[in-house]
Amino acid sequence: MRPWNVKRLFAFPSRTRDEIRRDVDEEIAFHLDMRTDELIREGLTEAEARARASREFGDRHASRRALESIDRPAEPSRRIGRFVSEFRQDLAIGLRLLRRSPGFAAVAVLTLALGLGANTAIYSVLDAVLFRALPYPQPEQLVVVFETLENGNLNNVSGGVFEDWRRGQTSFQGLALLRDVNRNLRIGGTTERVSGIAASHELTSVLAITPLLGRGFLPDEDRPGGPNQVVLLTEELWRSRFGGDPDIVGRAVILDEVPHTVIGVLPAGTWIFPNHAFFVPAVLRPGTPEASRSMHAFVVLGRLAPGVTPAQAEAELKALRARLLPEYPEYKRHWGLAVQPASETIGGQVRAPLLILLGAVSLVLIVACANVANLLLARSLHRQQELAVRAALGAGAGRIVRQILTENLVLALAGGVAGIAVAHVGLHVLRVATADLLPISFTPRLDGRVLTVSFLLAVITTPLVSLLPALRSSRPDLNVTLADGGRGSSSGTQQRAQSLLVAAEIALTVVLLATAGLLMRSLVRAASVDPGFEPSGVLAFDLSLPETSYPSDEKRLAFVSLLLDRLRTQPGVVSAGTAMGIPFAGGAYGEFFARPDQPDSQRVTGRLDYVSPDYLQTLGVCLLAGRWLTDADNRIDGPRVIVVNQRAARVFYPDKPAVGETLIIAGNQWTIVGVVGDVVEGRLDAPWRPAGYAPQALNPSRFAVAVRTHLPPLSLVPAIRDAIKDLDAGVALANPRALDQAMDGTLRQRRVVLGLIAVFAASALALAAIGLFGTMAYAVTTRRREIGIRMAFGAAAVDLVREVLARGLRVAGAGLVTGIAAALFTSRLLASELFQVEASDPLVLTGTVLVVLLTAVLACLIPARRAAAVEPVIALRQ
Amino acid sequence: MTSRQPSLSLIQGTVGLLILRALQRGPMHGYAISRWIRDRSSGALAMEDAALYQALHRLEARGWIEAEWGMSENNRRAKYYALTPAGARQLRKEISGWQRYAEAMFKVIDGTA
Repeated sequence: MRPWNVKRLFAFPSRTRDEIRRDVDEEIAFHLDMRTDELIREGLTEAEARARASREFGDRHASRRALESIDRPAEPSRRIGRFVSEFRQDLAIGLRLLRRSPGFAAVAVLTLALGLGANTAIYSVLDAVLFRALPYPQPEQLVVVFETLENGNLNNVSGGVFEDWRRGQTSFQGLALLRDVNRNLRIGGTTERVSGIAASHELTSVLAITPLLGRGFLPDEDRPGGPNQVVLLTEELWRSRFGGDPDIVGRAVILDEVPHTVIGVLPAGTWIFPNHAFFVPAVLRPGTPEASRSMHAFVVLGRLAPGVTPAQAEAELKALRARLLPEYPEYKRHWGLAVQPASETIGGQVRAPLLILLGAVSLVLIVACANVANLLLARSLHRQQELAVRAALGAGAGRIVRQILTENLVLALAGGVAGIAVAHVGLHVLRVATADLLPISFTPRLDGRVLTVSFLLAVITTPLVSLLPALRSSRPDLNVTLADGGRGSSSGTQQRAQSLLVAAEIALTVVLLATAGLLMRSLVRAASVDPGFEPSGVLAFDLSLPETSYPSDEKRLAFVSLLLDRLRTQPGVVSAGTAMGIPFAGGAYGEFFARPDQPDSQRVTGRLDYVSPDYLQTLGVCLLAGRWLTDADNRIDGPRVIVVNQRAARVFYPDKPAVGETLIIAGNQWTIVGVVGDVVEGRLDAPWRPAGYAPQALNPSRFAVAVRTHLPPLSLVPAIRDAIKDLDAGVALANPRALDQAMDGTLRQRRVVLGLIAVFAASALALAAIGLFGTMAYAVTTRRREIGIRMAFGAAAVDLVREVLARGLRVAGAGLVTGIAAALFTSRLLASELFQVEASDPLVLTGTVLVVLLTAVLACLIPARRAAAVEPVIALRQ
Repeated sequence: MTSRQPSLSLIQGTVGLLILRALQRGPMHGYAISRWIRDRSSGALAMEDAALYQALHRLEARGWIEAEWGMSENNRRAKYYALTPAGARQLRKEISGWQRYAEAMFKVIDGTA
C-alpha cells in the first residue's frame, strides 16, 4: 500500500497539460485499436483495417487539439465535481451504515450529543459574559479608569482626581463619574426605596445612549449650584411606576422628598445593570469629601478618542498625575492608576470559574470522542472486508481515509444537532442556576455565533473520533483480510489502540474527578467557616433618609432611636441595631489602621463601621475583652472610643492587651474599649481584615438595620414596613433579607461551579467505565476460542476472572498514573477557586484513585464473569 | 456489419443526447458508445468518431458525465464515461423535449397527408 499522508487526502486528482495530452492520445489510440481489431475480425488485413479505422475517425491531429482545448479549461471544475460526487457518495454510505446499525448509531450520536451539547451550553454563557460586546456603539472604546494602591490593586476613584482628569485629558471623548445611590421614590401615598446612579453629565455621551424620550444631562446640570434637581428614568421604571406616561418629560418626580424634573427616559437594556432604575447628576461641591482627592467613592467610565489605546490613555493620565502630585494627599504618593477595557472589568469576576468550566466541559467532549472512537475502532473490524475490497479495486489509502472521515462527519453532525437539544435544556438549567451570579443583565442564548461554534466543534470532533479507526482501515493487510473471509480477527494493534483510548479517557476523568474533589473540599471548608456571629434569626434591611427631611446628624440619630425603639416593641423581636455594613452586603469604610507609636511602619487596611450600641449583641458577636459600646458612648460629641475585632487586636497589640490602648484610623486617634470575635464581611471565603466598630453618633450618614427575632425573619417585614411608614411616610424599607440565607447566598457561585464540574466528572466517569467495559467485553468475545482451549486444558475459572480483571486494571492503572500527574498540573489553574485546600490535597487524590479503581473493577466484572462462563466445548465448536 | 451504409446526417446537438442515452445503461468507454449508437440505429445514425469524442469531452466539461480510467473487456486501460446526476436530469429534459418536438412535427405532417 501507498504510505498514508494527509496531502493526498485533500489534493484532488489534478492533471497537468502533459497528462491531459497523454490521456487524449491514449483514448484515441484505444479507439483506433479496438476498431482495427474488429475490422480484422471481419476479414480485412491489418493495414486495410488500420487505414479504414483512421478514415472513420476523421482528422486525428485536429481532434487531438480540439479535445485538449476542451479538457484544459474544464480541469478545475472537473476536479471539484469529482470531489463533490465522492463526498456525496461517502455521505450516503455513512447514512446507510448508521441506519444499518441503529444501536451503534444511537450510542455514538448520544455520546457526542452530550459532549457537544454541554460544550455549547457552557460556551453560550462564556460568550454572553466575556465575548459578547457591550450593547453600546463602538464598545471597544469603553474603558473603566481606576486609581490603584501601592500594591497595584484596583481602587475606586476620588472625586478630586476625577476632576483633575476631566480637566486635563485629551485621550478620551469623555469621562463619566458614577456612584450607586438609593432614593425614596414617593408616588402618591406610597414610598419605595429604589436604587440608581448618580452620574456626571457625560454619562449618556460616553455610553452613546440616545434617550427614548427627552435628553441626557446638560453640562450645567452637574455643576455645583446649577439646576441639579433633574432625573433620567430607565424605561423599566417609567413603564412600571409611571404607566409609560408619554408626557413624563418635564414632570416632577419626588426623590427623597425633593421634586426632580424628569429630563428623559433611557431605553430598556441600555443600562446593563438591571438593579438601577434612575440617574441623577453627581454634583461635586467644592470642600465636601466627595470633591476631595481622598474619598474613593466613584467608578469612572471613559470613552477613548478614536485610535487611542487604553495604554496611551493611561500614560497620559499618569503624566497628568505626576504634575499634580504635590496636591495629592501624602499617603497617596505611591498610588497609581489604571485604564482597563470595560468588557474586561465587567466580565472579570466570573472569568476564572467560567474558563475552568469550559476546560472541564472540553475534557468531557474529548472523553466522549475517545469513547466513540473506541466504538468505531471495534466496528472497523467488521468493515475490514468491505474496505479491503475497495482497496483491492484501487481505492488509495487517502481515498479510504476520506471516506471514513465523511462517514464520521455524518455521525458528528448528527451528534451536533442532538447536542443543540441537549444545550437547550442545559442552558435552561444554567440560566436558573446562575440567575443572579452573572454580573450583568446579559442572559446566555443559543444565537448564531454560539451555534456556529457548536457546528465547528462537531466538525473538529470528526477527525478526533476518526483518527485511529481511519489509520487502521486505510492500510488493511489485503491478503490476510480477504483470506479471512470477513470473520474478523482482532489483532494486537487493535487491542492496544483500544486500551490506549480507554486509558486516555480514564486519565481525563481523573483530572475532572480531582477538580470536583478539590472544589468540593473548598466548598465544605468555606461553608464551615465560622461567620463570627449567629446568622439565623436575624433580619436585615436597608433604609435611606432623605437629605431634606434629615439635614443634620441630630435629626438622623433621633430617627434611628425612634425606629429602634419601635422595632424592639414589635412582637417577636429580641433586639435591634444599626450598622453601615451588615455582613454579606458591604457598606462600611475601608481605612488605614495604625498604632500611634508605629505610625507608618505598617499601614494595614481595615474596616471601619459605625454601629448603634446594641448592634454587635443583636448579631450575637462574642465579647472577648473589655466592654460593649454603650448609649453613653453614642453621643455626637462623644469620645472616640472603639470596639475592635480580635484580628485588629492581634495585629496591632500582639504583645499586650489591646483594651485601653489606642489606634489611628483614618487619621483620628481612637481608644479601644473592647475586643470582639472576628465577624465575616462580604463572603465567608474572602480574606478577613482588622475591623473597628465606632459609635454611630460619630457618623450617622448611612446605615442598615439588623433585627434579631425568634420568628421567621422575613415574616416581620410587613409590620416593620408599617412601623416605618408611621414614623415617616417618605422613607421606605429596602432589600429585606434573612442573614442565614444571605450567608448561604455567598457560596452560590461555588455551589453552581462545583455542581457543574461534578456532573461533568460523573459523565466522564460513566463514559470511561463504558469504554473500559466495552474494550474488555470485546477482548473476551474475540478470545473465546483461546479461552475455551485453555479451559479444556484445565484452566480454573478463577484464573480467567483474575486475568481479565488484571488486564482491565492495568489499563485503568496507566490512566490513573497519567491522570494524577495531569491533575497535579491542572489543579494549579484552579488556584483562584480553591479555599483552604492544597492543589495536591492527599484526601482528594486518594478519593479519586479509589473511585476510579472501584469503577474499573465494576466495569471489568461482567466481562470477567463472561470469560469464566465460556463452555469449552461450545467455544471450540464455533 | 460489413460495410458502412449511407447514413442520416445528424442534426447538430443530438450527439450529446445519444451519448447520454447510451450511458444511461451504465459506464462505457468511447468505442463502446460509438458501437452502441451504430447498432441501435442499425447503422442509420453514424458520425465521424472525432465528433463523438469532442461531444464526450464537452459533456464532461459541463459536468453531465464523468470519466475514469478503468480496465476494458480485453484488459486494456480505457477511459470510461458515466452519467452524473446532473447528466441524468439533462437526459430526461432532452428526451421529453424531443418527444414534444416529434409529436408536433407528426401532427403537422399527418395533417397535410
